[in-house]
Amino acid sequence: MKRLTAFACAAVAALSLGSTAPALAQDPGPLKLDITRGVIEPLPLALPDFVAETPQAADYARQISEVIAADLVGTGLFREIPSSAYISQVTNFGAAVQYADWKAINAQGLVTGAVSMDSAGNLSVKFRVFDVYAEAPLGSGLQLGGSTTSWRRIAHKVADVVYSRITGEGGYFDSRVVFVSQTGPKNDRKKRLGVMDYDGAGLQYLTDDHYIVFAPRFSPTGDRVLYTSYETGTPQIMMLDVGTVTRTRLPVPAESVTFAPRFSPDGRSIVYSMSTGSNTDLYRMDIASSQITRLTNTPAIETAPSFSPDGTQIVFESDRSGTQQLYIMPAGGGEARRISSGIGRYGTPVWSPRGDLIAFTKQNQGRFHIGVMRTDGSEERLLTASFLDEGPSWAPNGRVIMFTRESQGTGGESALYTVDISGRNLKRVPTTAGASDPAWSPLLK
Amino acid sequence: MNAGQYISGAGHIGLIAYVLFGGLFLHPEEPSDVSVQEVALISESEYAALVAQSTAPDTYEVAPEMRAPETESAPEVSQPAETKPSPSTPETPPPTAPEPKPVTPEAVTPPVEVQPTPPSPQAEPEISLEDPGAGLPDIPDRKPTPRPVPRIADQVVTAPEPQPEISDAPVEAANEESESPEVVEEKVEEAAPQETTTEIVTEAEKPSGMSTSPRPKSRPANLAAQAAAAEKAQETPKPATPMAEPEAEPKQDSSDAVAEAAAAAAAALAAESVGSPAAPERPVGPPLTAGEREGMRVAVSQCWNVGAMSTDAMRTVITVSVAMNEDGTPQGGSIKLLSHTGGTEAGATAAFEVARRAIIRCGAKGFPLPVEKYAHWRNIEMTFDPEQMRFK
Repeated sequence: MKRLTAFACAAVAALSLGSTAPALAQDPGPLKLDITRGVIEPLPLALPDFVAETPQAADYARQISEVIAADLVGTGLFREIPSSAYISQVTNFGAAVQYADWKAINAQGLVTGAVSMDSAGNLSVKFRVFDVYAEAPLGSGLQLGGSTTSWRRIAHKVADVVYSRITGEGGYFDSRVVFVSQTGPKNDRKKRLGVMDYDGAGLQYLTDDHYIVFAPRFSPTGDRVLYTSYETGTPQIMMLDVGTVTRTRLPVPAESVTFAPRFSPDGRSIVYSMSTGSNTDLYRMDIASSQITRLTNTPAIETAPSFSPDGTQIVFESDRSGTQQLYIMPAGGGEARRISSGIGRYGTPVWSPRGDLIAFTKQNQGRFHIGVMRTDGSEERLLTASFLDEGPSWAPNGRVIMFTRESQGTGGESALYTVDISGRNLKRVPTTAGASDPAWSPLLK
Repeated sequence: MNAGQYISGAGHIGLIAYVLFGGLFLHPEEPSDVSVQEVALISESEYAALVAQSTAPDTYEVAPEMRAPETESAPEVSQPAETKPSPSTPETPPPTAPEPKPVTPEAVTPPVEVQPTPPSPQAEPEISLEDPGAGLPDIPDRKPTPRPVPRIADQVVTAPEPQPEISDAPVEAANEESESPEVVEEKVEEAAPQETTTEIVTEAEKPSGMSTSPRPKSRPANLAAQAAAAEKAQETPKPATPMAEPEAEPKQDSSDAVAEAAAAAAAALAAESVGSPAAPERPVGPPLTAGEREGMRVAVSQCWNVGAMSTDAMRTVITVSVAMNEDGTPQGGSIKLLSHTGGTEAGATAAFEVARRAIIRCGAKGFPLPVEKYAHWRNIEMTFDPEQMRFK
């Protein structure tokens, strides 16, 4: 009986457990992990030379590939895998990508392209970007066209697309920089406006060196430049048409000193500093009507105004508290609030194109810094430190800052530098002579 | 003990009777053959010629005769023979469906009522639980019965084969066994399902189950609870405590045996019911240790390269799901973005691409995860929070 009972119990238990057998194998749920620490290193990219689909396009294909590589690697975010490591050779733009071969050399991104030239001498460039480990293209392929003289712009545009598709934010390679070119000894500098590609190529001069010029600023569309000139003997704001290289003086009282101009985001008005007597305040001028509006009225010096991207606020520097500090006020004037709170003097604030940060120059304990802070003054970070760093200007994507660095000593020279807002990838912009006061244009159309 | 003595006595008596009567039957057959040969001595030359001629036509005649009935009965025999294995294998999914098809009306009724159908799913655990040794002699009991059949038909090989198959049919086997002594009936019932061999294997695995018993004790409280609930539902309080050790020794043994048998039966049922996907239903096993989780986290972190992430993506916290292969490699197509906070859609997309790249790249050779705990990391949800990686 005992055995029978045990047997019956076992049978019941077996059946019951049999019915609950799935419960034994129930999925305990996904394993949950929090990844909070990663690595920061350049992303390995394979950038094989674009395929020349016509014999005439061979040189352009090679040069375009070089510019694209230089653009991407120059950001500090990418590392080009040398072609000697390639397992697969891209000889046909339409051929299937051998992902395994690119994975084998740890290429995380791949850019393939082809260049052709028609009988009229027009270039046609098509390209694709691939995520090697996802084994999928990043977006669809694109094709660009242009004359042979614009091959560099075509290359920059390709690099912009590649940069954007990999990083998720806009590029800045197809842009220009207006700056003050400096020649001669330090006590007798010859200064004139120059404009060049962001990488220093394609330099052109907009003014001669007969008059001192400084603080140029691009218009939102990049077709005009505001700058301050001593052409009349006193600092006066000038507006220059980049296409025709013609300049006009801002319609302000001739006896006044005007400087530090900057366009509003819509390009219809200008905000600037004007000194009357010993006082310097901020003013706003409607370009079409030349109507002037006074924005500040304090005995302190207010200068270096910069609009927020939405045009509703202005950040500027003022010594109304005794030292140079940063303030923000409405674009139409009004109560200003101080945002800088650290030790030292703050100046030349520039609002980021993305609106999230404000770049500035900071002087503290005999050192100059380029830094950024949030618009409420928090999270201040100093990106550089040197004998003299000043005049930051944002790249169109708000990721890179260009500024002036002047070396110490009588033979010191000014040069342009760029730095990522992370503080990494500090590099000098190649220029044929000394350079200062950079102003980055928006992306070219 | 008395029953055993009775059984042994009956067995001895039967054996003696079988020897006596079987010897009588066997001996006369042999001399009969000899006597027939002696009768053939009447004419030597003719006998040799006749023998040579008669054997040839006999074989020719017998062969077609036997083949003819075989072919006639073949469809009937072959169908039930085929149907038997078919219901035995797919018993769990459709036990009733295959039975009516192959088995004629006769076969349908008996299996449901008597034992042919139940033995496949139910009799298996019963046999394995009570007398594993009793099941073993039953199987040879049947085999000797079909063995003499081919002996009777020495030359005809095809004929005896269907006969034992026919005997395996539920109706015919039951009839023969019912006519046979009582002891044979019981044995036939247990021996009818040759599938008990699989159970014997599971019983052999019992000792392994005993060795692994600590695991089920520690991890699933659900097992005891579910077993207890099921047994309480059956109003049997004792089997509810098989996992509980502090009880009377005999009860402990019986309860342990019941629990083990239940566990083995449950495992067997689960394996049978699942069929092909038995592999993924391996024991869940203990959860991953902190070290194992950390190893996995570090492995992913090593490939999570935020250097090329946009500032928008750097403000985005994303949660990604990934299905893992048993070898520790991720299933590339299974990586999906579950949710994101703190950034834009574009930022989330960029952050997801970076995270996916990290998972695929560092998981290409398999993450360091214990295979025995596969159920715990079959699916992984990773939350990538770049806050500590932001610019500072």
